Amino acid sequence: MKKDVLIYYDLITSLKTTQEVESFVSEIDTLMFEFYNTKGLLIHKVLDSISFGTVGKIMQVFLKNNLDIHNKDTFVNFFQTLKILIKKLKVIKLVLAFDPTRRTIERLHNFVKENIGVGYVLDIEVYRDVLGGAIVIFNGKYKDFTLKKNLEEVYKSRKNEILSNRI
Amino acid sequence: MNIESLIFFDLVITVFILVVALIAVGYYFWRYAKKASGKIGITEGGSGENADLSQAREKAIKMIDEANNKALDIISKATLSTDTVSETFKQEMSHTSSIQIKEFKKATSDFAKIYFQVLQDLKAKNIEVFQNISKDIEVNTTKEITNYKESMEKLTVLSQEEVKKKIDTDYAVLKKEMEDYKNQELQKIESGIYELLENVSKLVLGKALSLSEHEELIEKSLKEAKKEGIFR
Repeated sequence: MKKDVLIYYDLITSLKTTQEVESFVSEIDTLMFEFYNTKGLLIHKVLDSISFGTVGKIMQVFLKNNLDIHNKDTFVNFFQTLKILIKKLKVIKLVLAFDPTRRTIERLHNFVKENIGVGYVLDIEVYRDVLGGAIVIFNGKYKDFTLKKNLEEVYKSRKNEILSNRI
Repeated sequence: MNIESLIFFDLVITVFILVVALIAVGYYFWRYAKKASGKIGITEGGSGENADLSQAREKAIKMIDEANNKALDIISKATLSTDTVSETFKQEMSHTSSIQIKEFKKATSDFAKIYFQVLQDLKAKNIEVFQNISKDIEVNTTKEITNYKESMEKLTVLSQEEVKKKIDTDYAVLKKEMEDYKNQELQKIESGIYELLENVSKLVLGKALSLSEHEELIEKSLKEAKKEGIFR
């Protein structure tokens, strides 16, 4: 069973954000739809209905794990299990001061994978007023670690000093 | 119509009848004479007969003259009588007119007196009515003024209480508003400071922080979140 789950490890860990997850799920749905509507199991034709990158990832998993892509049951079970696992992914929402690049997203996702665990994806929102750091929201819990928040706390604690200097 | 006028008209009618009768008689004699003269003409030739005829003619003429005279006498008498009656009638009319004028004057005078009296009475009555009305108005007005005064006194007392209450309420509201305003102003100052600080931070930190430093700050945030047990 553990071995079965590990088959999907690369695919699951390749999904870093909620946007990527949505896109990937949509492609699986399209693939399954084409599969059930194509006579004679022309898998290559079925795979043409999704993006080249995703086809590459899927083919790689099948090859790496010696799975027969032309086997109807294997094919269907693979994608059904994959969808179940994707549904189990946990979402960490981050409010950032800037729009992160793909490299930054990879770095942050790797950080999460190493420090928190596997099976997390990032939902990123940009709000420039936070200045820096991040607001972290997970499973209904909210924590503000932004520079804005830090500055406000500094101001509150040293309010009188700042005001007297201003006047 | 008076009795004198009736007599006068009776007399006129009688005279008229008599004149008609006289004319009828005259006419009758004239025709008789004419017939007689005709017969004489036919029987002319005898002197004795001529004498009789002339006698008869003369007799007839005399009779006619007498009749004429009598008729004239009657007419003159009738005329005289008519004049007398007319004069009497005139006098009576004048007398009656003067009496009627006097009576009319008297009646007019009486009517004027009565009218004047009635006017006086009406005037007196109106004065009385007006006096009564005036009195009623005075009484009513006095009553109204008294009521108004009482109402005003009550209202004044109530108003004083209301004003006092309102002043107290307004004072409390104003006090609260002042407090709120003070807090708002302080908040504005504070938010101004925040804004200033944010702007300065944006200018200094936003530009000063490199991408790597940003990423480190985010990683630090995630570490802190893990420490605080958010991911449990």
